[in-house]
Amino acid sequence: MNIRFLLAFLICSAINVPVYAATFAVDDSGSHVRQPLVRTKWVDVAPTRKASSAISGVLVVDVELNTSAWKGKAGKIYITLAQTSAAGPVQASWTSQSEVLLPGNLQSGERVLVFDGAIDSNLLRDTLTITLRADGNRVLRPEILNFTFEIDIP
Amino acid sequence: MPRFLRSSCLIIAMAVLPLSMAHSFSTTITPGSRAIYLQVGNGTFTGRYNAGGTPGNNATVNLVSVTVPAAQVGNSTAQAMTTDSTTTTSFYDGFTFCSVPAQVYISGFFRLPGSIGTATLSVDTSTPLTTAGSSISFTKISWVSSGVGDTGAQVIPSGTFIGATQTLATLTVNTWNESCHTFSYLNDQVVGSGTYTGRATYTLSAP
Repeated sequence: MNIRFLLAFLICSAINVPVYAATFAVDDSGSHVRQPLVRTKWVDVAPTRKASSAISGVLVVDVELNTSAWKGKAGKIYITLAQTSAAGPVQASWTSQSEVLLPGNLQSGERVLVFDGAIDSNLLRDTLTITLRADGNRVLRPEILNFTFEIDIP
Repeated sequence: MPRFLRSSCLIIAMAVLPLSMAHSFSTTITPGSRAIYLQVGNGTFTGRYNAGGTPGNNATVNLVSVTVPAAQVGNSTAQAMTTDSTTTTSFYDGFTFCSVPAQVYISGFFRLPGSIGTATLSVDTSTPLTTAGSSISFTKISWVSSGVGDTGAQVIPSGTFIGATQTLATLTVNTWNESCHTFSYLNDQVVGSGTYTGRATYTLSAP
C-alpha cells in the first residue's frame, strides 16, 4: 500500500510539473497600434557592392496588458513575434516609454522577457517604439507581423 | 488515488486552456520602395554610398568635344575627345575611378524588392551632330570602356554609337554599376568646317 501510494505520488508529481511553470497568453486586446501599415525603407538607399538588402521601418504601439488574473502574483511576461511564411527572419528591437516593460530585441520565432516582477495592477501599460528590420530581397509583398504576449507564473 | 490522478489531469487541462485564447497586435510591413539612378558625367550625391549617402538630382549636361586640325580632317586618324565633366571618383566609396578630361564617368543602379529583374541602359543618338547646312552622324564616334583597377569585362562595355537607340548594358537588380568611357571621333570623312553639336541621351529603364 505504501509502495503504491509512493508510486502514485511520484507519477502525480511528474504530471504536475508543468503546472508550476504554467504559461498563459496575456490579453492585450486593449493595445493600440499607431501604424497598422509600416512603410519600410532600404537601410542603404543604394545597393552596395556587398548587396546589402535590409529594409527597416518603425511602429509605435500603446501596449495594454490585462494582468488582472495574476494580480498579487509574481510573473514573467514575454513578447513573441510569430514567424512569417515568406518574408524570412524579421528582427524587432524596441524601447519603452514608461519603462514598465523592458527594452529589448528579438527575431521572429523567438520570445523575449519584457516584465519580471510582482504584478500589482490589473493593467500594465507602456508605449513601445519598435524598429523592424527584414531582408528586402525576401519581402516581395506586404507581410503581416503578429506580436503576442505570454506570462509565466511560477 | 484514482481521484488524485484525475484531479491532477484536470489541473493541467485548465493550465493549458488559456493559451488557446491568444491575443496579439499586428502590423503590416511593406516591401522596400523601387528606385533607379543613372549618372553620366557629373552627378550629385550627399555623402557616399558606403557611408549612407543619398543620390540626388543633377541637371547638368556634360560636353564631350574635339577640335580636328585642318590638316588632319578626314585622314582616318581617330581623334581623342575630352569632356568638361569633372567627375573622377566613384560615389560608391570615393575611389578615384576615372580620369578627366579624358573620361566620362557612368554609373547606375536600380532597386526592386526581391532578387529578380534587370534594367536596360540605352542611348539615343538618332539626331546627328549638325552645323549650318551640314551634319556628322553619331556613328563616327566610339568609346572605350575602362576603370582604374578594373579587370575583366566592363559592365557598360566599349562600343560605337549607331545613330539610333541602342542598348548599352543590362544591369542586374540591386547592383551598383560603373564604367569610364573614353570617346574618340573616327575622322574618316571630309566634312565642312564648323562646330558640330549633337546630343546623346542615356536612359536607364527598369520593369
